[in-house]
Amino acid sequence: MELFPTLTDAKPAIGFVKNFGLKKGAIASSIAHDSHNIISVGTSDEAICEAVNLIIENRGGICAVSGRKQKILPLPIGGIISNSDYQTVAKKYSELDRTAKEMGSKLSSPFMTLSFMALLVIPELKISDKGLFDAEKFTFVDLFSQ
Amino acid sequence: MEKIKEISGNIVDVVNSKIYGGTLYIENGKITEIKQSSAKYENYVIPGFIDAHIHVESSMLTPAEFARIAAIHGTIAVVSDPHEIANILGIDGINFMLESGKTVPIKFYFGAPSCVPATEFETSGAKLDSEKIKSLLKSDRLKYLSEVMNFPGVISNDPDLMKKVKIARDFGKPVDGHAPGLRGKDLRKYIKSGISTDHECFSYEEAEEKIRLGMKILIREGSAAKNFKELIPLLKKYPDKCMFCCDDKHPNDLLKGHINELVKRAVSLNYDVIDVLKAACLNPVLHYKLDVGLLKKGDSADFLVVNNLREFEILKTVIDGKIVAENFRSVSKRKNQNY
Repeated sequence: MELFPTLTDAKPAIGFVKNFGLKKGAIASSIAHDSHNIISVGTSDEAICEAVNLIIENRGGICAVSGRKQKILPLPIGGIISNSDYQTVAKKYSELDRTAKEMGSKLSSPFMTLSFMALLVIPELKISDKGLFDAEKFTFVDLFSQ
Repeated sequence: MEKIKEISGNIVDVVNSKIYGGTLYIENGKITEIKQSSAKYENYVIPGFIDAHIHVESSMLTPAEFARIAAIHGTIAVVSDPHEIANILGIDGINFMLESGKTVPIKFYFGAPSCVPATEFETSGAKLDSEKIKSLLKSDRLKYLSEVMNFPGVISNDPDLMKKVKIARDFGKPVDGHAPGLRGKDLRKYIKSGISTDHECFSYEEAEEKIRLGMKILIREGSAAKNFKELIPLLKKYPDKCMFCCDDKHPNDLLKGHINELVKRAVSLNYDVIDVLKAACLNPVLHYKLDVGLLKKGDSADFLVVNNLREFEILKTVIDGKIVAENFRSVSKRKNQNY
């Protein structure tokens, strides 16, 4: 799991996530509560990099990349809102949800879980642009010292 | 949009808990006269549904586009917290939501987000301190201070946070809460500061304690958190203290339904239909002092025509006397949205 700051040039914050279930590729989102930096979970650095770049090219969105396939719902307004009609947005969101599940995720709503991995006020281990965060102790933790 | 001059049916007066046959007469968007009649009518005329707390951003739609689909489900007003966009774009983001919401008939009531950024452990795009909150709440365009998520800050008397709460109270605007699991002494302190709602309860006992201490409880059922099953029994004992909300509603879920789903579900569980409509239509109007009509003479002509009070099929959604949605289709055209 990686979180890429959208406002500073800082390096991405990196962590590992269990039970997300992806068997290939990566998914990414510029909806990441509540600061909405870009967050991605993937099976390789290359896939994560491709997914995040796809979001940057589209000025925000949620996306899935796997092999040669790329799917994205662009969200150009603040990186969280689409300028399309509701039918199109609902259809693309459902397609992306299905794609993430086809890539192996067993979560009921993979993109929602992804966006809440950055919500620091809800326990337990979360990620912000400043690093890995223990929401119970309300403090940062080191990735390798645990 | 077609203007409606009169409508007949079984009129549901939620304020006085009665249902009567009759005709409403409408001029310039207001109900000018109501004539009762002993004739038999098939359809029901009810006040419109209100989502008492939603982040419209969760639908990934602009407020204008959100309005088109929500109207089909009988939503005529939403109390909305622009917390997400404010975290990214600050006051510019809030202005965008206000402007987009103004272009459609659905009534948007936005609040000033109290906790931007949410924590000091992350980099958000904006920071709204008490000075900025004051500039926002000074204006009529923002109706309340939205969810005070930083409940530890209230309990420890965080100076800038307490200033925000005081500013809202000085302007006579409600302050919304967000205090999952908060009980006892800390809860009493939280409420005493002037925070008057909560949408984060996950048990009946917690909600009941909050109601007894003076809060209104928003029964939440959205795409993320779902508390309907635990909290709906509140409606029996506290029909004047409950409202419905979604908090978050993803685009695929919004396609299926909105507050209408919760109304149908509650009625199917045999809750009194007037109590259900109090939560869905009346209580938010009273709590947030919304200019939404309640089928009284002189009110804005805001109402729904439904087939019956079990299935609640929305045949017409009327706002300020204009038909906004009809027979499961939005009448309002999509706005050209180039941002």
